[in-house]
This record gives sequence, C-alpha cells and structure tokens, in this order.
Amino acid sequence: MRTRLATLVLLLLTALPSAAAAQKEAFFDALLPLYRSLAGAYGDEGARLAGQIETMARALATWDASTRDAERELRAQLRGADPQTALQAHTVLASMYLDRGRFQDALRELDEDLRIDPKRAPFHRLRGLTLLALDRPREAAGAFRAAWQADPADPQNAYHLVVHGSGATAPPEVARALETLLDLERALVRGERQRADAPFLDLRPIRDEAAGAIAFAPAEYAPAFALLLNGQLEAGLTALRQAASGDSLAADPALRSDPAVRGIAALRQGQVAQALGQLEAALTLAPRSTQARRILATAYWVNGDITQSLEQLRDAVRLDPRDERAWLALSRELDDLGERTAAADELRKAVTALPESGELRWQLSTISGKRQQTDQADLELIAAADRLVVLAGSGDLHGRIAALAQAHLNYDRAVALLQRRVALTPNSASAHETLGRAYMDQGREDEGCAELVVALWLDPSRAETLTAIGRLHLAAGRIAAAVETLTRATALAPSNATAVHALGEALLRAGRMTEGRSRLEEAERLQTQATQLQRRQRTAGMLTLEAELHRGKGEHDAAIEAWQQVLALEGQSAAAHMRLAEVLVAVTRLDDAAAQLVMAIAANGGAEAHRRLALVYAAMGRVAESARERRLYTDVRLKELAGS
Amino acid sequence: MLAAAGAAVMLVQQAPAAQTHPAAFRDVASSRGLDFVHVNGASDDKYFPEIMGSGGLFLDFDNDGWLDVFLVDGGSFADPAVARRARHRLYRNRGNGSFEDVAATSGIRHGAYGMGACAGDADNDGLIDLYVTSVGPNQFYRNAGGGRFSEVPKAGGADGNAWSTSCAFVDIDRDGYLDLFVTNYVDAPAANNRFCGVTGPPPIRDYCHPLIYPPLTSALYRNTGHGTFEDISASSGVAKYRGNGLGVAVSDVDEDGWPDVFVANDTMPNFLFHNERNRTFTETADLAGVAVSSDGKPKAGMGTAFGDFAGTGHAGLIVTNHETEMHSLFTSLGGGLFSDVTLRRGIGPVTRPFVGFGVAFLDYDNDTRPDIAIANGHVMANAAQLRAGAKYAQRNLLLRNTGDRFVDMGDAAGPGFAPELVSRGLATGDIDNDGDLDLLITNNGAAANLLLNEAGAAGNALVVRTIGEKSNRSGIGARLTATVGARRQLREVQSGSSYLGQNDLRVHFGLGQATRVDRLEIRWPSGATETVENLAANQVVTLREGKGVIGGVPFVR
Repeated sequence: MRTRLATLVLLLLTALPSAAAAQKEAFFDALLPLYRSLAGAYGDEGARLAGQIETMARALATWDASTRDAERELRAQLRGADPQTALQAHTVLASMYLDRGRFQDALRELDEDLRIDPKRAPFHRLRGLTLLALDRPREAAGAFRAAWQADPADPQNAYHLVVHGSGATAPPEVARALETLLDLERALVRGERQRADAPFLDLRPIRDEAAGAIAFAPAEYAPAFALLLNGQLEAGLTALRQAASGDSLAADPALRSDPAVRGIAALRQGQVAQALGQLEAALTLAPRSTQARRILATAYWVNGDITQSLEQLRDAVRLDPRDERAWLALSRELDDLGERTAAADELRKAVTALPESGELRWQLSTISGKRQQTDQADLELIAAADRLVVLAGSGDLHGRIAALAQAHLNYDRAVALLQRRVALTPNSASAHETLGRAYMDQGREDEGCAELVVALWLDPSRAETLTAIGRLHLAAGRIAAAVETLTRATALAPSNATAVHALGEALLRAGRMTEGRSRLEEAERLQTQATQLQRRQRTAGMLTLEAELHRGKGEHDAAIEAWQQVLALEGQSAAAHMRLAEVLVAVTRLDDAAAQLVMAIAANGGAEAHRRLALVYAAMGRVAESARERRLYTDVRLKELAGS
Repeated sequence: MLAAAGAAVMLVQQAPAAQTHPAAFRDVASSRGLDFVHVNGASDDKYFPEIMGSGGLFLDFDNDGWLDVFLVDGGSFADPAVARRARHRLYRNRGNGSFEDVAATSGIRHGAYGMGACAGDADNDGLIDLYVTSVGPNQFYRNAGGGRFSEVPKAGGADGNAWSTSCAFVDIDRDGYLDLFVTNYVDAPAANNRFCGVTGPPPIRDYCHPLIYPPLTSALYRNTGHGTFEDISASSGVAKYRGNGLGVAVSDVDEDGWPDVFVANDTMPNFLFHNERNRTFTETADLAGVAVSSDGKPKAGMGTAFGDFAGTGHAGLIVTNHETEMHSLFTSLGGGLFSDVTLRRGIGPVTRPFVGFGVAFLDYDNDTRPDIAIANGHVMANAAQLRAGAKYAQRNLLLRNTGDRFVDMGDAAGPGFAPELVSRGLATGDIDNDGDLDLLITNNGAAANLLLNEAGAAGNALVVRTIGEKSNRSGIGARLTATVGARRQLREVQSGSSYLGQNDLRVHFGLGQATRVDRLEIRWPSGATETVENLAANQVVTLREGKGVIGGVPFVR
C-alpha cells in the first residue's frame, strides 16, 4: 500500500518512512516468485524455496529496522513538539504501523491525532477502517459517524455512515447522508464531477488485483499465507519455513537424481523427447515418488501422450492422496479433454482427501457448473468461503461464490460475501455495483443506493450502474432524476434492454408519452432479440443432448445430424466442431473429421484440437501434416507450462 | 338510492385499524369428501404437460347457495391405461361444507389431457355453465339443471385444438352475453417430444424449457347469443400476438367501463389486451408497465390475479414466476398504468425461492386488507440432482397484508400451509358460508387440498352475489366498491384468474370491526350503476341489476 496518508499531512518530516515503504515492497515483492515456485510446474523449484523465504526474512528484518529508526526519530521530535508537528509525527507513525499491520499501534497514534485535532474527518475515517481491520465493527461505526459529523459533505463519510450504520445513527442522519450521495450522483451524471481515483484506503498488505486469475494458497501453505495476509509476518515466515520443510517438492530426493535434473532441464528447453527418456529413467530409480510421476505426467501431456499422462497422475494420487498438485493436474487434464464427469469424480475424491484445499473445492464447483449440475460440494464451498486463503483475486472469488450462493437461493450469504468483496477491493466499481444490486434485491434500498453511487463515482461510464440507479429513482418516484440518469445510461449502452425499458417507463411517468412509447418499443425489440437468442441457445443445448444420446447408442447418423443442427444455431463453437469430428471419425469419414477440427482450431479450440487433428491426419496417412499438428500441440502446451 | 331491506340507517364509524388474527387453515379435503387424486401421467419420456398440473374451481352449479367444486384431471401420453383412469370430478356441496361426488351422473366426461376450467352463465338461463381446456380439443358444457351438464358439440365453436391453459368468461362487447377468452401455451405435440436435461453420463432427462417450443396465440370467442361461439381471434387482434400463455385475469384496468384481459406468458413478455370497445383489442402491456418486471426482463409468468390490495379503489396485479425471479406485484397508478412494487411491498425476497402457480388476493382475516395466497411447486422432478438443495415439493404461501408490506405467515398460516407439495391451481371461496374465505388447491399428480379457514370468522365481512338483467346473468365484470368510513374497497366479479381455475363468483369484503357497509356502489357490465346503503355485515346478499338487494342470508357462524 502506498502511503496515502501523505495527502493528509502537511509535510513529511524525514525520508525514513520512504525507506520503510521500500522495504515493505521488497518483502511482498519476494512473495510472488515464492508463490510461483510453489506451483512446482517443472519440479525443480523446490531447491529455491528456502532461499526465497530467507529473502523475505531479510527484507522483513530491514523493514523492521527502518521502522525502528523512524520511530526513534519521530518520538524524539514529539518531545516538546508544537501541535502541528506532533500531528504530523503521529500521522506518519500511524501510517507506518498500518503498513506493517500493527493496527493496535496505529489506533493509538490516530487517537493522539484526534486528541490534537478532533475535527479532522479523515482521521476519524481512518480510525474506523482500522477498527474494522481489528474486527471491532461497532466501534468502527461510531468512528465513521464521527467522521460524517465532522465533514458531512464528503461522500466517503456519507457512504460509510449509511453502510456502517451504528445503533446511534439516526434516520435523519442517514437521510442527509443519502442526499449527499444523490448530489454526487447528479454531478457525475451531468459530468460536473470527475471519477474518483481510488479514494478508498485499502489496509490489506497485498493488493487484491489479479487480472481475473485467482491465486489460491496451496493447502499445505495456507496457514502460513493466512498469517501473512493478516499482517502477522514473523509468524507467517515461521509457518512458511515449516511448510516448505515438509513439502515433497523440496524434500523428495527423486527430483535431485541425475536423470530427473537432466529431464527437467530438457523440458524447460522444450526438448520433450529427451525429457521423456530422462524422466522415465528417474521414475525407475524412485518408483514410489509422486513428484517424479507428476513431472513425467507433465512431459507425457506436453508430448500428447494422454493415456500415459493420466495413468501417472492417477498413480501419484494413489501413492499420496494428499498431493494437491497431482490432483489439480489430473482434474485440469480431464477437463481439457472434455471429460468433465471424470474430472468431477476425481475432484470429489480430492476434496475428501484434502478438505483444506480451497483450489480443489473451487475447481469442483467450476466443473459442476460446466456440467450444468451442481454438487453438494457447492454448498460446502459457499459455507467455507471465508476460510479460503487467496493471495490475489480474493475479491473476485467472493463475487463468484456469491453468485453461486444466489443460485442456491441463499441471498443473505450472498450479501455477506459481496460485502467481503467490497472490503477486499474497496476501489472496484464492479464490487460496489454488484453489492448495490444485491441490496436492492433484498429491499435494502439505502445501502443499495450508497453502494451504487460509489460504484458510479469510481466509474461514471458504467451503464449497468447508471441503470440500477435510474431504476432506484423510478421506484422512489424521483421521475426527473430517473429520466436524467437513464438517458445517460442509454447513451452509453443503447442496446441495454433494461436501461431502455426503464427510460421508457420513466418518460411515460414524466408525461413524455411519445418519447416513452418510442423507448418502450425499442426495449421490446431488444428483448425480442434476447428471447430469440435464448431460444437458440436452449435449442442448441437440447440438440447437444440428443446428439450425445444418439452417439451413446451408436446412432451415428442421427448424432451427426444433431451436431450439424447445433452448429447451424451456434455458429462457431470449438466444442461442437470437436464433438462432431469424434462422431465422423467413428464412421471413418476422416476428411470431414479433419475439416471439423480445422474449424475447431479456428474457433480457438486450443491444444486439444491440434492433437486430435494430428491423430486424424495420421490415420489418413498424411504424415507431415500430422507431425506439424503434433508440434503445434506441443508448442501450445509448453507455453502453458511456462506461464503456469 | 336503495336502502338495505330491514336495516336501520346508521352512521358508520370509521373502522378502527383491524386486528390481525392468526390464520388457521386446515386441510379438510378427505374428511369433507373431496377424494380427488390428479392423474398427471408422469413418465420417463417427460412429456411437457406432465408438469403443468390441472386446475380447479368453485361454482354453485345447483344454485342452492352453497359452493360446489369442479376439479380437472390430466391423463397420460405414455400409457393408455393410465389415461383411462383420468376423470374430471364434480363435487356437490351438501349444504354444510361437505361434498358428494356427482361426476358420474353429471354428464361431464374426460376428453383430452385436461388443463383448466372456467365457469359462467353463457346462455343467461340462471344456471352456470362450464368450459374445460385441454391439450387438444376443449369442451363446453351447458348446465341443463338437475345436476346434469350436456356437452355442446365442438364446444359450440370454441373447441380450438391446441394446448389450452387458462380461460375466462368475459362480456367483451357488453351485449349481455358472456364471451370466452382462452389462452394457449406452446406447440409441443406428443409426437415431437424432445429430450432435455443434462448429458451426464449418465444422461439425466428432465422436462424441456418452454423456449424450446414455438409459442401460440390466444383465442377469443364471441358468444352469438344462440348457444354458440364465433371465433373472432383474428378480427379482434388477439391472434396477432404469440406467447406462452398460462394465466388469464380480467379487469377494467383503465376504468373506462370495458373489460381488459391480462395474459401471463411463461418466459415471454406478458400481454394486456386493452378493449377498444368495438370487439377489437390493442396489446398495451408494455405501455401499462406490466409486460416485464422492473428490470425490463420477462419472467416465467404462470398464475395471475387482479385485486385492490392497496385499498386505493384501483385494481393492482400479481403474477407468479419461477424461483429466483420473485413473483411480481404491480400497483395501479390509475389510467391503466402500473408500477412494479415487488420489492417495496416485501413480495420479492419472500417469494424468490419458490416456483409459483395459482395465486389469489383474499382477505383471509377479514381485516379489510386483501392478503395473498400462492400455490408453489417446482417443475423439475430432478431439481435436486441438477441443483444441490433444490426441492421439487415446496410449501404454499400465505402473505398477510400489513398495509404497506406483505409478510410471510409461515407456520402461523396453519397446518394447511405446512406440507411441501407440488401445487398448481388455487381458488378462493367460502364453502361453509361463515364469512371467511377458504381455499381449493390442486397438486400435480396428487390429492387436492381443501383448506378450511378457521380464523377469519373473528372479523366481520360481507359477501355479495350478483345477478345481471341487462348484463350477463352471472354479473361477471361487475365492479363493486364498498365504502366504510373513509375506506373504500374495490372488488370485481371475475371469471378465470389464478392458474387454470376460477374463484367463487361471489365477491367478499372483509370489514374488520365494522358492522355495516356505509355504501356499496355497483357498476354493472351493461354500464348501469346502482348504490346500496347501510348494508349490514355478516351476510351473503344477492343483488339483482336494477332491483338492488333481493335477499340476504346470514353467515353460518
């Protein structure tokens, strides 16, 4: 976290806080290579683990030393300081402590700040956030209220008052706070106010952004990472060392044998055939090594030897049911092959063996969703969401599990998860918007309004947010505001049927009948298109099912016809092309099968499409083309491996 | 101005805020002689109609003042032996809330796979007639009196031959004869039964989504006045619109004196056919604000009902939907415009877990505020396999109107609401004439429920039966507004409504502690208006067009 408190103090006294901040970055920057090593993609990462942990330890030691130096300096300045100087010193100390996760110490400094200047709203607000981090929500609500009382015009204060209301918060205060937020909304809609650039302080040590990826902590390391994320850095490092010492990635001697070392090096260089030979030899030397089996499986996979790869992984998890890496690799391969039922079966066994693995639970839920079925494990995932340790993407994860909770009609739980998402990513417009809509669905209009306005403040170009706010205005009878907001929404997203429909309704209610009718007609047209799309999708789904059934019964002609109908409805669908190709192969229409696989590749069918095409070309005697496709397959797999 | 016979003129105190009584609905179906078990013909082939259930309705076919029951039976597409077991059932009320099965001598026969029914005096002979919808040709039975119904060939011209669902008798042209509106669902012939579900392995088959099949148009039949119907679907404009029609409700939404028709469409925008007064209709659901929910998306509209739940004197609208969608509640803004108040009125979160079908507004506790009863039940028999924790059988809902919100009564609704069922139809009526509304609920492939209301009698009420003279004999389409102090309540005599069924044609006003209705204004379908003053509570009064109150029978309490 950058020291945003610099904006609150008049000047920094010394450069020492900058040094402390730099050491903090050094500490957390060392975390990323450690995390990547833990994936163990190639199998030689184990040797680096201890060193990477010690790099973090050294950074922490330096950081703490910098902090101690800064403390000494600042405390010296406090002796006999004038109020302004004292204010600055306490503020810098609070900032350092917050960075270090020493929330109690930070609170003490903030209390000193407020003793000097009780009317400074940002201090009250920061105090509130610190109290939330200490899991003291009632006191936090009091602090937020104090912030609002000190500066009711600040939208942040208004927002916190509404969403963190305490028992002492009176309804008229909430009403005034909402007025402030609605004023902000009006200004944003009219372009009189610009978007806010990350106005909310984030006290977490690690930014949660992960560009869509979710970085689960490996199961054996989860307690360690949980400590780190909670600011308990020394304890976290100790736990990391302990976990690493028991990790077979580091401890398994099979990975240090000569053939293993040579094999892994060859794999890294893309020399797959050589890698295979060496890794097979390594396994012969250590047949009970799950790591050796896993890395050999990887090499087989990259080479397109699917059966052998799966066999090695199944053996690995049989030898060690707690080998999370092997389970994950096995389920990913089966999923990639489209064998989702088998993938789900393996993941269920995996979750039973390793109930503490967040990633295995998440993968099971994802696979179930792809199968259009849900699993009992979904309910367990929803219940366990708060215990999942995620280094980055936790906000996104909470959002997706909230959607799962909603699908299971557990709306209270969904709201709790979305609240957590906002806490994790306070400057995410999407997080605030999703929570706002969830509140609205529960009839919690005030909180919904607050979240939606903040979402707009963070990104005034979000048509969905504007639409939700517009509908809120409409429901509350604020017709002019509804028209204004929804007009802006439809300008940004003219094809958004919800926005267009709501604008139409608003215009009618405003007495602007001709414009209203026109908008409603447009909404109807858009909705008709949406319904037609749904019809096509559902019909395609039904035809897919029929195709699979025909295929299962050996009714190949009927299966082919059904798949062709699916493709006529869906257009480009790599999965459909590949399934059709399978059936065509079964009836030895190899030319047609090849054509379908070429189309699958064009539709981003991935490595598997290349592999299947290679097999078809081989069966047709087109040796060179087969070899080419095999190479392409291997190239894709090697890139995936390097990026994992 | 007509005074209630035998009633002294009194100034009526404004009813104090009515006390809330806990509900106590108890299923008395088997103890009262309703031994019907629905045959849905559920099969491994998953024919689509197998999940839709069938409907039921209350009617007084023998004019003895006691509500009888008609229940539609389904059938089977997979097994002819099962199909032969299906029988529509007519139960005559013995005059004490118990019933005897008179189907065998009624002349009503089971035809195609039965769906729903509606009732109205189509020939104005004083005897209520019956129309039954099916997956195939529909049937029209003329009430011949003496407990006999005679089937009119080809339903008098209204047989159709599609998958018909809900229907309603409605005098669209105010000529005094009841016309007939029938909505149709999808074109899903048994010969083209698709395999839907998930691939597995093993494959899990389930029922198809309605969007797999082409939608159908609704049908409008004009009563010629000579015992037949003329198909005016095309000329009326109704046939221009294709939808997956499941529910039908009728109301004069813009209060221009002409009845309009609402159709709940499954997964498509709903229709509101506005009566243009010349036997044509214009579809205006979008403009009215009831085509889709407030998020602009169509929902799985199944059951529907109009009712003045807000006590404004204007009829609001409810539509039941699928799980996660929330059932939709619209309040009338007047002038034929509506606003979605699903969330603001508390309907949203409480209905989200349910798949809703039959629905009705009813003031179960007679506190003057119409409450809501909903029949719920999933459509996917394999729901639990496809979504962990999903339930096929679900509990029905009784939502109490607190004035500004609806609250789930939960266990306090009484043991009748406790079981988890696969419910479909729901109709309201006072089977024991004690002044509180009871419920008929149909369940898919299972026994029907008759929920006796044992708590509403604590409050006062008034039940009104209408007899038209220039208007249709049943008085269908009459608008009654009861004024008690400053409070006004609107009710309409409605055929159809809910899902595949129909409520008691008599209208019910809960009066709370008030012992009189200051003023009852009636606008007859013919356009004539009347006012009755100082009606005593706790009776069933009969109003004849142009004659005022012609009779009153005290509640049996």
